[in-house]
Amino acid sequence: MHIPPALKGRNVSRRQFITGGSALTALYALRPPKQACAFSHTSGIVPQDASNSFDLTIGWANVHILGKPQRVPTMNGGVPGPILRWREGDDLSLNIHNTLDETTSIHWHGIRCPAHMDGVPGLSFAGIEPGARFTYRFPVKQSGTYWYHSHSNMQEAMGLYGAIVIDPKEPDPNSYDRDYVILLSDWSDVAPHTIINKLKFQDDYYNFRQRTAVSFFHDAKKSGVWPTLKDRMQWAGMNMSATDISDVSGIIYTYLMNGCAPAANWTGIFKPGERIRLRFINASAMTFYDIRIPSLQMDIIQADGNNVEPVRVDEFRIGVAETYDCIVQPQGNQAYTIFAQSEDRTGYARGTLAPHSGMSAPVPPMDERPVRTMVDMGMAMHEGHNMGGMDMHNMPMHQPAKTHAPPLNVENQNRAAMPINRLADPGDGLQNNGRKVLTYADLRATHPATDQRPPSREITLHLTGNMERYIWGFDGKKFSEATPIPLRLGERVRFTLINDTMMEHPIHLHGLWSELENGNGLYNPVKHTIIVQPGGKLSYLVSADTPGLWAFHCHLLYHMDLGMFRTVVVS
Amino acid sequence: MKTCLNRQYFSRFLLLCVSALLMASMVTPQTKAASMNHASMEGMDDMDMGDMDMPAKPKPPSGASSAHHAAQTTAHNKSTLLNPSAYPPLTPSAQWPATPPPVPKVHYVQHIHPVMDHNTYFHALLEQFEGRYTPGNSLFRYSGQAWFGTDYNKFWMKSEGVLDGHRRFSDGDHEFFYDRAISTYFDVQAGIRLDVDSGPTRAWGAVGVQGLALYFFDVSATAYFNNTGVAGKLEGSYDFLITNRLILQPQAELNFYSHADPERGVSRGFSDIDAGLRLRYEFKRQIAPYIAVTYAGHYGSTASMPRNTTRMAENGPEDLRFTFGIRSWF
Repeated sequence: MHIPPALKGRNVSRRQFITGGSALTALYALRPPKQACAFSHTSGIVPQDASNSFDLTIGWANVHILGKPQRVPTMNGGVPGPILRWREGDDLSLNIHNTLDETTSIHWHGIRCPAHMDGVPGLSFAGIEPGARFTYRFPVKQSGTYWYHSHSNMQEAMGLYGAIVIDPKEPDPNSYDRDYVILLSDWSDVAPHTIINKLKFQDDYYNFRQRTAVSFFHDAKKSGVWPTLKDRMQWAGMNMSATDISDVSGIIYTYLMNGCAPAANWTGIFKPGERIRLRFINASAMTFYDIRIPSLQMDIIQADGNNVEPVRVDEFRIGVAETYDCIVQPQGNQAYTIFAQSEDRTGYARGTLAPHSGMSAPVPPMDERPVRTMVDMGMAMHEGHNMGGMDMHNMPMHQPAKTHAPPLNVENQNRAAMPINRLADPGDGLQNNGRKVLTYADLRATHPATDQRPPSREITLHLTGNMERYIWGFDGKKFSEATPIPLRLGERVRFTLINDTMMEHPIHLHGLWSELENGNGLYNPVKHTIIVQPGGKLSYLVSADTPGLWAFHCHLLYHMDLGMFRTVVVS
Repeated sequence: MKTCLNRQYFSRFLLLCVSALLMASMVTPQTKAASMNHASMEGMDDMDMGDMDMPAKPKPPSGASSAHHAAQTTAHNKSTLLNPSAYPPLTPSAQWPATPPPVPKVHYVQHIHPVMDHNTYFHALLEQFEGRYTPGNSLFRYSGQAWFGTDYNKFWMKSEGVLDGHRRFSDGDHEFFYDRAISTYFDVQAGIRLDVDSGPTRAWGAVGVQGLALYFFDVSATAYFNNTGVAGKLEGSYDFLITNRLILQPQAELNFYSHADPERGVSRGFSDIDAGLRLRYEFKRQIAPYIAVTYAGHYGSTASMPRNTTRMAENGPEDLRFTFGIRSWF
């Protein structure tokens, strides 16, 4: 959608989406925002002390974020739920009481616990029945920033999530004076099942920024009539859309920071000169964010709960379910905007770091929305001459191998003919933007890998989908048609992922670490969720050290629910 | 209105459009994609499980060597990224073989499936719901379809018809199919067609394909058969985005019959066409009013027959009208 100037830097609300008329839209844009925080102003503050015993209640609550209160499933009545502070080495007991009228569950995202404590109905346990209680008990064997969320009936997409902060047993190598959780989520008054239903009918239902006859003239002015026409014909000839960035957009989403809409301006207080630790968690259903704090640099110190050598950046992209910790040290007696624009630039989450509450800093305009290229289609050799930061000439040619690429069929729309390593590519929309943007190639663990054996075998999976039919899967098959992925208890394997689709997928393996092979050998970064860029190929090592059934899936919730899911069996 | 149009020219133009649509549909996604792959790139898109030689392993990000990325990459990365030993080769042993273990039988707790990727959905699309205007002789026409089922198997219904000012219902065509997804963009359909309106009733068996041809053309082709002969219907449309909400849609439907059926105003061969150029505005995705120019043409033996049966309300064999309507779906 072309956003009228009056709307720039403001979320397009659902009401505007429905009315559509631009005059009406402009009128609404002029009205004072009614958006507020879902929870108290203390959200984002890490509790004073860790605990090893928790009594938590899952129940319906009326949450005021948009104009009208919404009845959503919550943990202890808030969105997000309470921040749980644990201590490495403790034996935990988390007693959950389900007061909903439907089954629920809590999955501890990134936590290495026994399989029956992992909280995935069907795989770990049967779920928590209405009115029932369930006590999770497991030892905490790790530290860092994590999060929890429901794994039942799209409750996660409706607000059942929260942060976990685990104190390390050893002294923390990073010193800081303040500690804030910055939990990002996408919020809508459209029910998740309705969203799926619309996407099944029309995959670009929420995309109002497609190429049109009008935009043709803009494009032609920029790059010439013939190249513009050729480019459009090429995309149309594949039945694909270069403007397909996010399946669900700011048209219905309001992007929240710690449960606060942009206008509510979540604020973290600091004293000039203090070192502030910001624990970013992306608890969204479908949204990637590009995060920056204008006029502050961020030292990335942790990714997915595991410490990395500090990297100083201006900006970083956070995929759904990833976490990044950073240290900032604002010197000025002024406010700073924490700006998290959605990857498709249809909205942003925003908050403020300030010496006093009530202060705010300018909110920067959103960047240009990215447009997919042939690189994203896995055809880098055809057209990929202009990739930010990627030197195509040095790209090693993949050896011809016996092909296992899934066929094009009902469930698979594309094959990446030439998938490439995109670890040093910050991602679509971030290349060559003049800022220092974090890439996966920048991540280096501070500690060597615990399991230093080389892998004994390799598991190659293609990430596939059919946007038109809105079916997702691995190797051209959705979950219900595929067999589980078996691992031997104790073996170390290499997972190689090839993204045949034209979207990023954050792939999450439950219960086991994913050691991303980015060239750092024993110091490869250790993650629980790994973004595979479109047309990209990457690998990571997994030590199958915990037996049981583990979920392995794309963490874009509607991709997961429509088939991009496998059961990994360690036995 | 019709007098200012060259009759022959117009119908030929429509025929041309529809045959272009059909030709586009012949190009299946598979062959198209294959032709886009360079021959030399065949088979380069994958890594084999047993493939252990280094060149097939993920490579250090080559960006480290470019000036831009040298700046972006920290010093320690620069040294190690270029170190090939950072990617250990596969090292199977007797204890940890290179082959995958057998897939065990998985018992899901209480048979709960963790995701809902096999749900059924119900959708309906009322593509045409319109008044075709002529002073004193306006028509109402509708055309819609609905489907219910899973990704692969659906029950599919289509219905269309024309109502005139005398409450006479004509061109009533109602079809019921079993629909099966067979390729990336196409479904096959098998079922029945019932011609039920104010005229005599006819019943047909029906087999067809429907889907999205390359370049985003919506097309369908259906063959019908009964004891009197065979018939065929071709339909095509294209959404041309003027803006993201203002959409121009050319659309055409052509009918062919092996035998004339004068009682229903049907000619042998190319019998009739119904086409429209509709300009809609999607205030909401699901409710879009439109204005249009529509054309209904009847050819062959029955074209000049007096309109004494079912299409009495038309302005002769070629009928071009100003039209307005609402497109909706759920």
